[in-house]
Amino acid sequence: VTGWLLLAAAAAALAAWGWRHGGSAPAYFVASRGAGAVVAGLAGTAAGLSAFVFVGGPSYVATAGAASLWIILSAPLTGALQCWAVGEPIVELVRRHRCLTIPELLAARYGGGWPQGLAALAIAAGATATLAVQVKGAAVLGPLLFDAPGWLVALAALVATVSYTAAGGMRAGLPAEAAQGAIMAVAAVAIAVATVVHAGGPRAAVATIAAQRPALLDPWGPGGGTAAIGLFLLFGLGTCAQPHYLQKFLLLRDHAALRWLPLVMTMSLLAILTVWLGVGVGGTALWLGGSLELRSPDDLTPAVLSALRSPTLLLLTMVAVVAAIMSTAASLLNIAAAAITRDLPAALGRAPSSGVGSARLATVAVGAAAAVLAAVTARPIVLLGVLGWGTFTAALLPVMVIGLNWSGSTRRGAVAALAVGPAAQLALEAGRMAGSVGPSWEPGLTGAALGTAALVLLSGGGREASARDTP
Amino acid sequence: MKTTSSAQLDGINRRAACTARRRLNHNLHPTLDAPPHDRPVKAPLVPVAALALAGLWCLAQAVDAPRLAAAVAVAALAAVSATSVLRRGTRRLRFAVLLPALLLGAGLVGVFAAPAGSAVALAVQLGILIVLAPLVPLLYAASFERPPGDDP
Repeated sequence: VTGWLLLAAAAAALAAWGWRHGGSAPAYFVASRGAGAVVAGLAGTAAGLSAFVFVGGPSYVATAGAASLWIILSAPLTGALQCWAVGEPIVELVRRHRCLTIPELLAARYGGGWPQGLAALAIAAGATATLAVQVKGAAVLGPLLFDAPGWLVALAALVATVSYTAAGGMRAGLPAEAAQGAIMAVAAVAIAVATVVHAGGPRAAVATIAAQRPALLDPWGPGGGTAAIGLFLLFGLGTCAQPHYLQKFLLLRDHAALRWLPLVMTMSLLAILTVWLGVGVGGTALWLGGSLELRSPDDLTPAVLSALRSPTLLLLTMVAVVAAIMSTAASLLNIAAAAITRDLPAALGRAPSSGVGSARLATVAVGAAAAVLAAVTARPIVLLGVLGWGTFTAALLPVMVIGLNWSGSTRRGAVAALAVGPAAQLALEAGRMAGSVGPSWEPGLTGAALGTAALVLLSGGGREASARDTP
Repeated sequence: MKTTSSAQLDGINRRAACTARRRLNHNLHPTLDAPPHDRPVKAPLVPVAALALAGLWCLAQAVDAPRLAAAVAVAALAAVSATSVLRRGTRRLRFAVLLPALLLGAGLVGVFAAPAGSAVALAVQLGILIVLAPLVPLLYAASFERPPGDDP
């Protein structure tokens, strides 16, 4: 109870501060562009990683073994990859056009109307679905970690996040996300080290797994090599298309802040991912060695914490899990509100409102919609999460990576890519659920591949002048 | 003495007006027809490489070929990074983009070559993480260039 009261007090204080300082559109949507590499890097990492890392990741190691590592294996590359491919062009576009949202970048590149509108639709829908994942994840974690009803934990985390995000936007959300990222990193390293030590060290843990269940050391897993590489590429290239990642480039104070951004992002990301490896490998060894009893693999992290018998580590994990949920939720709420109140009206030819009153209302509405979606959907959390990530990848990867870097791409090609990519991805997801599409097909990447083909082919291979397509 | 007819004057005026309109439009919308950097990437390499990688990725999935999928993955990551090389192609940047791709490719070859059921593949996976995690961001920082006219 004390912890929840502290959370409520902190959220209320942040909301009050945000209300005073987040009253303009630049403050509300891009935190007045004051972020340096450390703050933006920590915030970007915290926003990108959900509570899945602390609970779902280790349990995925217990289920799929070494094959689960393909999701995190691209982590060393993604910081630099994002800066090279999209970060540098975004910072330059922001310098010239003072863009506040990702769809506004596309409007600056291709002209307003359809490109901005389709991107805003994809972001609003994908962000709400991904937010529902956070809510549903919090509801699942409630009984496991907090010994409290799931809906209560989900509601508390959502209300706290909505309160300060609605009041202050990214002006309040950015420092909160940076602090949450630092907390997550410290907690993850502490839990991972304690678990591996408890399991007798890394060599002993791997030896136990090799002796008890060598199939877990198969790097490809039951899905096969193509599916494993698909996950690796989806979570590598996909980072260049996640709007809550890309948003952090809009917050940077200048181009020079890019220089050390990948280092901060990569180090904080790797620190947090140690929980995936440490609790995953160490906890699995403890489980296979008979030191832990699990009703299901999802119980791995709570069972490990129980075995460690450390109230400090338990408290640290609970704080880190709440921080992970809130940091991701805050960014998603903000980009969805921006898409609804700025980009969709602009795409329809209406001027966005100068204040942030409508954005505050939209933030609350998106939070409520996500809560309803989480309550009514029967889809598992992992499926919802991959669906959101894949939709962003399919819709935005071609226009962000190729569109911002190739002068031959045209407005017509961009509109086609924004429509074809998510349509193909959703069709493949439906085929997968019906059993008619095999595991080697990765829907998000296939959507992005088809969107890329549409972008290039409908741009006439670059021969057509893109200015002809702009209004 | 050579004189200019009124028809010729009309033509000159029309061309001047057209040029002025183009300049005004460019000043108002400088990036509507160009990516936001100083050396717009016009090379046909970009659409050709993008189409080839998209096609090969779909092929790898269709025939369920893990080695082809891995090769396409490394090439795609390198190609996406290499968009920066096309913008500002310094030798240092080329090296910074190429080295991680080569190391990643070598790591994936190691995973494919590892004996089934052994811990070697896991060790190679962890090796990819441990080697590339500090290296890639440091290579980025070392090859970083501030564009001309970048005012805080």
